[in-house]
Amino acid sequence: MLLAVALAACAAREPAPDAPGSAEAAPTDPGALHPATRMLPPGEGRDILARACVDCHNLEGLSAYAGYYDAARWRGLVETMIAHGAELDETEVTKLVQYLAEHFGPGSR
Amino acid sequence: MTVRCTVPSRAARVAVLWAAVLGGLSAASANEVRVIQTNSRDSVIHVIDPATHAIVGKIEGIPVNHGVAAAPDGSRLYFSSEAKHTLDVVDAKTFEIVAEIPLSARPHNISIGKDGRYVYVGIMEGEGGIDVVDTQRLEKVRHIDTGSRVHNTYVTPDGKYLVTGTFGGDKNLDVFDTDTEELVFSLFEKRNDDTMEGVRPIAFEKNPDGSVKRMFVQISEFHGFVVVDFATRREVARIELPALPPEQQDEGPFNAAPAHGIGVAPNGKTLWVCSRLNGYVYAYSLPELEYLGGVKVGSHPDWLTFTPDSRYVYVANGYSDDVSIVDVENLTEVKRLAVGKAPKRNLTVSLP
Repeated sequence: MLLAVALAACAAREPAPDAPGSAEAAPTDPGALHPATRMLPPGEGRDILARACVDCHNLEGLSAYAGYYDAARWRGLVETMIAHGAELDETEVTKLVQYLAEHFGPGSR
Repeated sequence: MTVRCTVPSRAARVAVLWAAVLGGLSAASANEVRVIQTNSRDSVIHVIDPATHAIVGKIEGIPVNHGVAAAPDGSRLYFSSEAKHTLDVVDAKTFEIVAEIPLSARPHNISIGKDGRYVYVGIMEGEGGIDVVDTQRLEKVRHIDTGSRVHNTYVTPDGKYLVTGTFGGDKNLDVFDTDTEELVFSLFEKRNDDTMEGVRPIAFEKNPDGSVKRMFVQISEFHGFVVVDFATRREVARIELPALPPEQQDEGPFNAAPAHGIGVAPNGKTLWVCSRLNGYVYAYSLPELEYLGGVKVGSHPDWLTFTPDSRYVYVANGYSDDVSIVDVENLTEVKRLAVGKAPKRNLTVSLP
């Protein structure tokens, strides 16, 4: 999976963790989280990011979008990531968009 | 309170006039060369003086800035913002944003026509394509459908063609006539169903008359570049960059672009190519394309630009958040300059 895109321009420097294969299986102990997601607010969305996005992205880039993307734009970005190979089902997309809009949406800057 | 006004003598007025004239001449002839460095995980853009290799200015307020272009007279700079979905217009004297032009979706890289009238913005989201922005009206006036997500746009050095490198198309390099905006030809057929299959950065070698002689094209999952003869529209060579043992390679992921960033020096004598995989920039002679050597730079070199005298190449290192300044003749890194987060495109400009 691959995205030379924005979420952005920031691929992860750490390899993806071996373990989590689903949001349910994702770790909740902040110390055990993938390094790229440790700075993120807790929530299912973070677990989805940890599973589906860190192979290609350093998620520090999310903060650069804070305040600019509403849910519609986050959905557009997530859909582009899926076009680039991110593996997410519709339920995960909905949860992820909700998480991103809540923590990095309008008013979050 | 009273204010006393005095009328200056004729001599004084003449002196002031001359000062104004000379000042004007001085300003007109004292264009400053600057390297503009975007930072794609940041809201700041750095302005570097290549005479001192130091940061001398900042442009702020453009989050997730990606592409950069300059008006031919240097009066304005243009930046694409992936966060705002805008093309931001910046006054090159004050570094203030003077316009934010809405785009059809999230942009990537941009280019400008030779006469400065239009900026061509690659659209990476949704259906992709190219937004055409009129720099006089300061609005998007057209959209060129490409059937692909557009990563980079270029205007050829002679100004005649708009060239795109794209993802997701049946072919991923399109050449348009800039006068008519009609498609002239396409190259690089889709090789597989990988979602990131496509064309990455492109560089242009000129004929003596300024027309395009060859294109040097970076493509997905290839650690090197493809040489295309522009007149015949055919691939004539495929050159792989030097291999390093895995333990000496940089850490991934490389987003399907082990080689990303390529440019021809202004004097036309060398071609420089970034290797994200190796953390190197490599030089080749032109027109022979003989390998000259490599220079270790920062992590994930992603883009490059040259000083006008071809003495230095500035390499943006996307992972180490810095710029490597490389001496072209001596193949050595002379300085590594910290910039913003995830430095992306850079451009050498002459500002008024």
